Amino acid sequence: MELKLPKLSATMEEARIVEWLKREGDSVREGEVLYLLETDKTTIEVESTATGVLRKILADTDRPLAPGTPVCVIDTGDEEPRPADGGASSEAGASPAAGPAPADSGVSAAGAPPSEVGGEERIRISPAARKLAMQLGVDITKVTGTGPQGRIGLKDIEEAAKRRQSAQAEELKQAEEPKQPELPAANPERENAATEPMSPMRAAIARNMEKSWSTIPAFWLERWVNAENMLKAREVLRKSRDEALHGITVTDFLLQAIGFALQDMPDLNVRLAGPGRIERIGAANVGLAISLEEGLVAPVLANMNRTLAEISRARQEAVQAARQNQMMAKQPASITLSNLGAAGIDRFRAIVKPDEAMILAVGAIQERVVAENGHVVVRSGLSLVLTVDHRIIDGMKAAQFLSAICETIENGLWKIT
Amino acid sequence: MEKKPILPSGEPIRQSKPEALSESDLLAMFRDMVLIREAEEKVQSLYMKGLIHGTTHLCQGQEAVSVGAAKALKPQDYVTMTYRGHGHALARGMDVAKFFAELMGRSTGINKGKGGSMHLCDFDLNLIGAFAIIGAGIPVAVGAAMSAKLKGEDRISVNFFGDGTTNIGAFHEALNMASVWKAPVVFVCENNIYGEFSRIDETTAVTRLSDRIAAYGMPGVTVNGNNVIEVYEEVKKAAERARSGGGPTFIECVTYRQRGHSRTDPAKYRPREEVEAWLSYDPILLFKDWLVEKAIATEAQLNDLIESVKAAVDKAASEAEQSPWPSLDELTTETYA
Amino acid sequence: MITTTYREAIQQALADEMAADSSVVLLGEDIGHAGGPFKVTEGLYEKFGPSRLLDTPIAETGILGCAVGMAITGMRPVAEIMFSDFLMVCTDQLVNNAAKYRYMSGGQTSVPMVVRTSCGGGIRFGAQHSQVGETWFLQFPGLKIFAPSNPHDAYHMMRAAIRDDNPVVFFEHKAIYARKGELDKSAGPAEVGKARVCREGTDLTIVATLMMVGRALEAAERLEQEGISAEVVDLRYLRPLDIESVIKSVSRTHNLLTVEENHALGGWGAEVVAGVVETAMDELDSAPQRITLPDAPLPFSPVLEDAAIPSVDAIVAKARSMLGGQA
Repeated sequence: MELKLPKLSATMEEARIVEWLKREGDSVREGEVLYLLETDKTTIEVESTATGVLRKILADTDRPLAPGTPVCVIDTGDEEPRPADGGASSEAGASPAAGPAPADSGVSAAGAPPSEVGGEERIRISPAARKLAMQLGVDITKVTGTGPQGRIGLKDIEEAAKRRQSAQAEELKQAEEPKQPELPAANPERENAATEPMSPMRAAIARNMEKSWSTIPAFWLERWVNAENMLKAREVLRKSRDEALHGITVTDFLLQAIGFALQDMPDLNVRLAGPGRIERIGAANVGLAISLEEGLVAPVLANMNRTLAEISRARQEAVQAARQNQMMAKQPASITLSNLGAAGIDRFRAIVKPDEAMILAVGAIQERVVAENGHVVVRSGLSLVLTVDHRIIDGMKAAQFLSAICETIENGLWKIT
Repeated sequence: MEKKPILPSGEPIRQSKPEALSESDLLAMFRDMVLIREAEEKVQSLYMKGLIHGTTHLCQGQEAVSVGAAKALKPQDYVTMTYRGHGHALARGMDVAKFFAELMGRSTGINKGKGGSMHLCDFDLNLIGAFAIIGAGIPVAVGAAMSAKLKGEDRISVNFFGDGTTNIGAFHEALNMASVWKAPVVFVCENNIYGEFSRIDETTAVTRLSDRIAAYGMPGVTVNGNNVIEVYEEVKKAAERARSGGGPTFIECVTYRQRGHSRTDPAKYRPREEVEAWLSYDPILLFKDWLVEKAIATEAQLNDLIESVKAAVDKAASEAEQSPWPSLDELTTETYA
Repeated sequence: MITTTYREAIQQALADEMAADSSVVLLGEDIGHAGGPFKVTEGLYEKFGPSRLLDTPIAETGILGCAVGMAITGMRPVAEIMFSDFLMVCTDQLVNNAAKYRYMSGGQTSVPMVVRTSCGGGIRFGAQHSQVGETWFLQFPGLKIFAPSNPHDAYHMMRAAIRDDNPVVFFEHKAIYARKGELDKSAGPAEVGKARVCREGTDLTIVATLMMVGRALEAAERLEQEGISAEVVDLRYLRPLDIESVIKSVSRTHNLLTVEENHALGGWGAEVVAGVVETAMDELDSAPQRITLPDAPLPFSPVLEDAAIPSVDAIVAKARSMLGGQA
């Protein structure tokens, strides 16, 4: 028999088990105190609601738990002992509502490479089906297999993808419908307009952007930065004897500047890891928004505090992989770079990815009239707009971060090879 | 229980100087016999030093067969042999440094280090194969002979093997085929009385091997394998017979190996009296005595020759020792044509 | 384009090669006067005479050894070993000499010989005359192994085998000597080492050789009627083995079935499965399956022999079960 965390008041959202008073293997009587629970108001003793033997403790101490979370299993002797699913326990304990969703890679096409939930039975799936599931973004934990011993096969994935598509189409259709009354009734084109389901990539982007927009309290910091040193450096590299340096672009310089800033200010290299939890990334990883015919992907490039040559190589590989629809290994990151300069954009604000903390939007290199030491001069530069999740990072720190990036760019503090 | 020793005849070389051989031919033969002896002794010492690897089968004591037969052949004739082939290879003219290098596994070896002691071949000299599995080379020799015959070439095939080989199936098949087809082949059997560690009377029903040959419809003859002139003359006859379309011949050369079956064999299975008798019945000494007796050379000249051969062998061995190992890139090359 | 039998196609290939190159010589038991035990060399003795066709005594080691000797001295011998089962009598010459000669000599020579042999079961000849043996020599680098399934391939592959400078073991299935097919002589030369997709399909790849190719094609016809589209790949060569073609096919169908007239342990089916799993595991939607001989010598009684050799029914049943979710 599984005992769950009681909801002790209408407003109780989460509580922590402070101490277990019984150990696995102990016998327990109904009414005996099992554990001490700390709520936002006070600490109370929670009694057992069953008599038997405490077979398995499912919830660790000191973790925020939501009411209804299973906390332990008591063998009362009258029923089939529940298989102690070890893994499902402590992870699930951390509030199923807010846990990082398996599909947290944001806007990439292979948006949902759902890993097998640790500790549960292995998912039986053919290699080809696993590959297709990654490509289509199908969550294999939610697919029923029709193969031998319940193995998931290609057919099953294809069905699942079809079902999801029509479900999404339904959702979108319903989301649109309220708008219809606002349109003039005499709009025959609208009524007869042909619609089509979104591609999986489009649908993934839609989901993620909606999530970002509705859950992240964002603020923006803007700077215009003098890019002349950077452009000079690029020219020099273009003429270098080392051909590997010819392909270094403005994006590569920007990636390095961000990488250095992350390295120097590790407090900003963070992201949300569940309610009330922050993850320190550790490595100077930076996401890169890559525009594709079918949409947008933003793979994370690892260790951008490397040399320009290495960064350039990594960037080219990522672009290549994206164009060929290949999955790249997933890395965590706190920030993504989005460069619309090639499209002539002066300045824009980007949307933070739902699993990151910041995004840097870069505009086109333009000549501007600026004042320097009381004189009017013309300088080449570009606009940087940093969007920041205010839950995790505050204005001053973010401003210092942006300054660090600008300093690298303006003063040409590059690491070439 | 000690076996009864099988003793040599003790006869010196009584033949007169063969007409077809000049004095320099004869001296060259002597030199070649000494070369083989010195080279085999060198192989022994290199093996002890760990420079030659695996195993190796030496032929000290059997030089008269190699050299006598080689002299009776033409350069275009095909020669095949077994793993005890160093003597035949050197008698045929294989480059001595490349010979040592092959045994040392170096890339400058005659087979680029890929074959080793048991598989020496040099197609430029028409030394077309050395076979490590008993009997495997005999039908190959017949095939080579048939190749020459079908193409109408003035060329024969000579195949060297030991007494033990006469008991294996391939021997029987090949001799029968050679006889039926009248293949131009000369089978030279080095009967050194021991097949590995077993003496011939323990394994073979008919120990005078040439007596078995009537069963194949070809002439079989037994000669003194330590008498280089006798070997030369018999092989010459057989070669001419083959060349003129008379078909194959089997020549049994009775001889003795001074050392064990292979490098690692101390040969304690041979009766002491037998070994000592054969050691003193040394083919090189026999030939030396004959050359001096026939006034073809003096003792001193022959000793000088021996010294110069020793020096040449040392030089070749040292050259081989300096040469490079094969590169790993060559591991799988030359598997396919 | 002519219609001819498997046997005649081989005969013509031999004749055409012998006419074009005087170094091509045939040897074997009863191949000359008698035209060959399976009549493959019929007519050649009359055309080319005793200097080009050598009748040999019953001496397999002698025959192959002779062929080696001829091959290393400038000829292109084609030796016949009457039944492939007898290859085991003379394997020494094939694997210790022919296969290794070039390598051991450091590249000084090559061995351009062909060993032709009649193989396979289904004709009630018992355990010592019914094996295929195509798979026995997979272990020997230096050898090539050819196994044509139809007259067109038999012709072009025989010519290629003779042209090849390496020793080739050429397996002819005795139960299909009389099978007819189209032969286009001008469509050569054969691409050595290339398998052939002889029927395209989308649901399942069936890989086969020799007599099993015909059965796989028949099975594919029947499966088509049940809505299963099977692709049949005729390997044609076992050394070198064209795993690339199989992988390409499996990348389309995602299911792999091999059918061979060999025992499971050590059969080429295991090689094909290993090759596909090693590099293209992600293409597989089911576990690869093999149909092979049972683990016993081939029986004589017709009822038993027919049950031992993979039948069309067996192929259809296996394919059905694979795609019906049982593999």
